[in-house]
Amino acid sequence: MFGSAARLIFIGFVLKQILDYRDWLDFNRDVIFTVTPGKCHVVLHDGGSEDLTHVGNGVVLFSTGLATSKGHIKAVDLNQSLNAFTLNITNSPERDDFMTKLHGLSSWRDPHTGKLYLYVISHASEESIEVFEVEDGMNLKYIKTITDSSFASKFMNDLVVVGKDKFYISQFAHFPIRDMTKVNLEWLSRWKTGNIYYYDGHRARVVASNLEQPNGINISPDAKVIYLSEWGSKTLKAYRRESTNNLVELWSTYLGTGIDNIEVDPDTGDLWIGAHPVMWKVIDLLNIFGAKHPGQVLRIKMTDNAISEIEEVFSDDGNFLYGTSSATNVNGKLVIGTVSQKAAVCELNYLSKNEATDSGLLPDSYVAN
Amino acid sequence: MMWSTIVTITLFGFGFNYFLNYRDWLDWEKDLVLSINPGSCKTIIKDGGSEDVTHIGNGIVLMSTGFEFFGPPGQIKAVDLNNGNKVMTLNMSNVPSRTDFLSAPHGITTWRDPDTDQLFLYVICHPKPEDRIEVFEVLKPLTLKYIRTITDPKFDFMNDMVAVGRDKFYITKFARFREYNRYNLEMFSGMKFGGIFYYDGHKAREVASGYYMPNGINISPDKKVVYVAEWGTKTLRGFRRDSSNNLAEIWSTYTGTGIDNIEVDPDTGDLWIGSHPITWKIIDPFFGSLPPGQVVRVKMQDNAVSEIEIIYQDDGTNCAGSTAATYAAGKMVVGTVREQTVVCDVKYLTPN
Repeated sequence: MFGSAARLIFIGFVLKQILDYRDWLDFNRDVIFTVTPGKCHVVLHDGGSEDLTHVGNGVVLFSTGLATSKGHIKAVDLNQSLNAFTLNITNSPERDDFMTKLHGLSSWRDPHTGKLYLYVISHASEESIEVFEVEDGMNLKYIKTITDSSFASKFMNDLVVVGKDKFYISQFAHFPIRDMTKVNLEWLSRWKTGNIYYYDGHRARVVASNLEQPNGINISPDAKVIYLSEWGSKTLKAYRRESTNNLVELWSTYLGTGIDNIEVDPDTGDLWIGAHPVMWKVIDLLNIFGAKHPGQVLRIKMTDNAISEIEEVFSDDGNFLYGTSSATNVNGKLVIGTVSQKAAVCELNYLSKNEATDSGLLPDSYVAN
Repeated sequence: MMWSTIVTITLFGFGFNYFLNYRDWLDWEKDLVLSINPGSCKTIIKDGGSEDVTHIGNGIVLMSTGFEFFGPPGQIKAVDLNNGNKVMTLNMSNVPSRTDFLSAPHGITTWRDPDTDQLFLYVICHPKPEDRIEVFEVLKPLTLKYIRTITDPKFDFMNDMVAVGRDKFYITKFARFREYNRYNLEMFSGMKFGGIFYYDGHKAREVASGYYMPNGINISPDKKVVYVAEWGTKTLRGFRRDSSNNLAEIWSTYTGTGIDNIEVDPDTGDLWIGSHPITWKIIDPFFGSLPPGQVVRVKMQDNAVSEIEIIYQDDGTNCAGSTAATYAAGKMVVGTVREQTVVCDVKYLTPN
């Protein structure tokens, strides 16, 4: 009697694991409908634009070439034309693997000198962060390369710069990108092998661990809260930054979709997130087999650094854009980047407001009669 | 013995597969619904619902309100989209003296007589004894004059209808059982007892059968193709109408969402459908959950589906249990089973 009960419980447990894993893979998410916020234009036709960021005056920078090998920093000036151009790099080092497979990027303006710096993760012979000064006329002047023994042979994804050569960086996987078979197995195993490191200008240390494929990372406008897309668990996390730069988890919200990079609107604090809605289709994220998987952009309204509403601003079944990894809103224009394919700019004909209404109950896009 | 092990495993396999499909159908693991706003939205009716809506021209949208299973009489309301979204309840004249007149008003359809230019409104109602279609003439200024009641012994629990002539219409039979408990059992069982009937002015005949809870029904602008939202299987179907008004299915598209009523844009042929994205939340008799709202726009090419877009989505806070939607005067009207009615500006629509 006890034996049968134990056997039944065991079978139930195994079935539950199968069900949960099947849910995680989004096996039954078969039909993706389109959501279009306005007229869309393609600004980059191929090569990908894994991460992007608005550096001011309508200029958006992209990191390209993650799926190929040779990467470039490209840009689009939204106030001029909708064609992306490649930035010239001066003072570059003579390494063969310079600018290989560019991934997450982050810009930082020095409050004392006013100079703008760009930091880009490059999967070179070891994981490197290339540092540039962004000069007028859209040139990049190479400054230095940052590496650290604690993450040199791992798989880093995104970073957010908080000071001169000081940043938080997400470690996506234990195995490096050139070992995609092991990376895929690591992802499918769902083991929490990911970490967030803080680099203090000299060395890196782990400030958050036990994460499932941490991906995009960014910071609130008041610089107090770090946001992280824990892509593997489809969860958005927020951490409080302490004076030591250590992180303490504040909240964790399940979003049910594969969230990638995060951009933060400096005025409203809104989060703009590129996402991959169907997990099992992501297995070909670097487009080696040419499988199309759907794209999605979320806009998350924040109040006091906590989530107040989550909107889906863009959705596509993969025919127009797939592998949407990053997005940002620049004055009513939505810029969307993908891992290995195009980059697009869509008009945002309507964006509901992000201010608390007088009643405090309804979001500002609603008015009771 | 080897044989009995194989049989056991096979039976278990079938059982597990059935369980998986049922769980998927329920959208059991789904909970979070993301907002999608096409423009600024206003709640024009706070509760009571507006199960079906239809645009009759000049920005006037009629709605059947107050649906409750074999409940008390409801009302026909209207919203004037060109006049500040003003809502009014339509007065009815010449009505019969039955206390259950206009009980639980459900699907509606209008038909304009091309010779006399008179506009007629048909409303499916569910008084306890039998389903009845109440017929009105829509007069100006906006009031309803009762004309007649249509019944037929073949009508069990009906849902929606589309008029194609004076007292001639196609109507969906949603369920066989009209008693609440048996109706629920029928819904949870997945049995395909639903169908489409054609009423020729005198009597009804079944023109399509073997469907699982067919819900909304409407017709293409050229009157050649009848569209049916088979809510039970989340499938949109197109039927060709022949000269004897019989129907032959020509295409079906799985939508993955609980499509309810269909309105057709007379200019573009677009379908506007109110739908239920999480099945368990709309049929939930136990947990008292808040059902979300969703409106999909189906772009058509030659009366067949070319693309499906989501125009509106809400987790239920502002629009719970959306059943119908229409697009008129640059705005979208969304009706629900028994809660709010919402009007949103539509700031962008992709061209057809």
